[in-house]
Amino acid sequence: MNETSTPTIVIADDETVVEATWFDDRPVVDPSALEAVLGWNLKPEGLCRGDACVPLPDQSALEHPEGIDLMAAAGTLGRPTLADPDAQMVAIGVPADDRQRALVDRQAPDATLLDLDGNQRQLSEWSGTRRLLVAFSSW
Amino acid sequence: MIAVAIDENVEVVAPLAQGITYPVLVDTEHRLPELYAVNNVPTVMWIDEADRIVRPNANEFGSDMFTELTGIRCEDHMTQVRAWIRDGTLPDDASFEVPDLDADEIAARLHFRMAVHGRRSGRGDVAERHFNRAKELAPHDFTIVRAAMPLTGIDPFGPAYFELYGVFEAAGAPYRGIRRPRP
Repeated sequence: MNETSTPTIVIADDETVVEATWFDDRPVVDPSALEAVLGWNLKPEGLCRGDACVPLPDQSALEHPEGIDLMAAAGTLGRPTLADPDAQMVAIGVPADDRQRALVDRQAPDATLLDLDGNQRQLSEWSGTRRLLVAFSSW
Repeated sequence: MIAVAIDENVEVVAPLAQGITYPVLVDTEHRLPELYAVNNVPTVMWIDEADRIVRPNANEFGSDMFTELTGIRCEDHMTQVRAWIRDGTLPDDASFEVPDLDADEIAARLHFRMAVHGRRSGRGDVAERHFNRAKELAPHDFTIVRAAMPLTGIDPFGPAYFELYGVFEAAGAPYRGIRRPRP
């Protein structure tokens, strides 16, 4: 977007690389990058995904002369963020509400995982049956 | 039953899944630690037909291999599972509320993902910095401290594991879920 922007790795639901300009250790991105990274678009109504919009009480809090403050936008969606300016990396966690759905509302959140052939699978593929979900590990 | 390995890749899980007939998935991005507040394995959740978690995170085992260490016998759990499958009976502990992650545990998960990315992309300095920070922030979390061991050249079944287990017990065993009382 300008001569100071650099490729920045965003680790969120997936890993993406976006052009960002770093200001005060915070990446500022073009508004068009938000959908690729967060799945939400910035519109006059707020942050939108399909017909659903999260109104922004103060849209100017996200705006920057060079674009949109990515971490502030993620924060609006209830998502925790971590920046590493030296490595030009940002990590964006799941919305706090998604975990609350599991812990408080007791509704199992969906998640994308890999099967043993390396294919992406959804936990929700096993909906409709009484089941045990067992987390284990090799360690 | 669905088994989800919280592991770095399919290759390390495949040998463990040989001969297993239920689905085995791999959680390379640590979704379960983030979404379900899982902080150790094995962790078992009971989920009904409507995706309702009827018994949340519980430290249950598929065998008695670790009973000497944990005091947990697998048959106690399996008896309860059979009753639930048979007629929907839930044990008293099913109403347990798993406490939410605190800010440090949430941050530790982000540092862990950054470290893993650094390691996968050959940036050892980035990996080391963020593995270290994740471990500082969540020193009792096995999905952070122990999961990092094989990724940093440490034997996860060696002295480092027993040291972690000691630190965890000394801190009051802050497992996020149901721990069956020791007999």
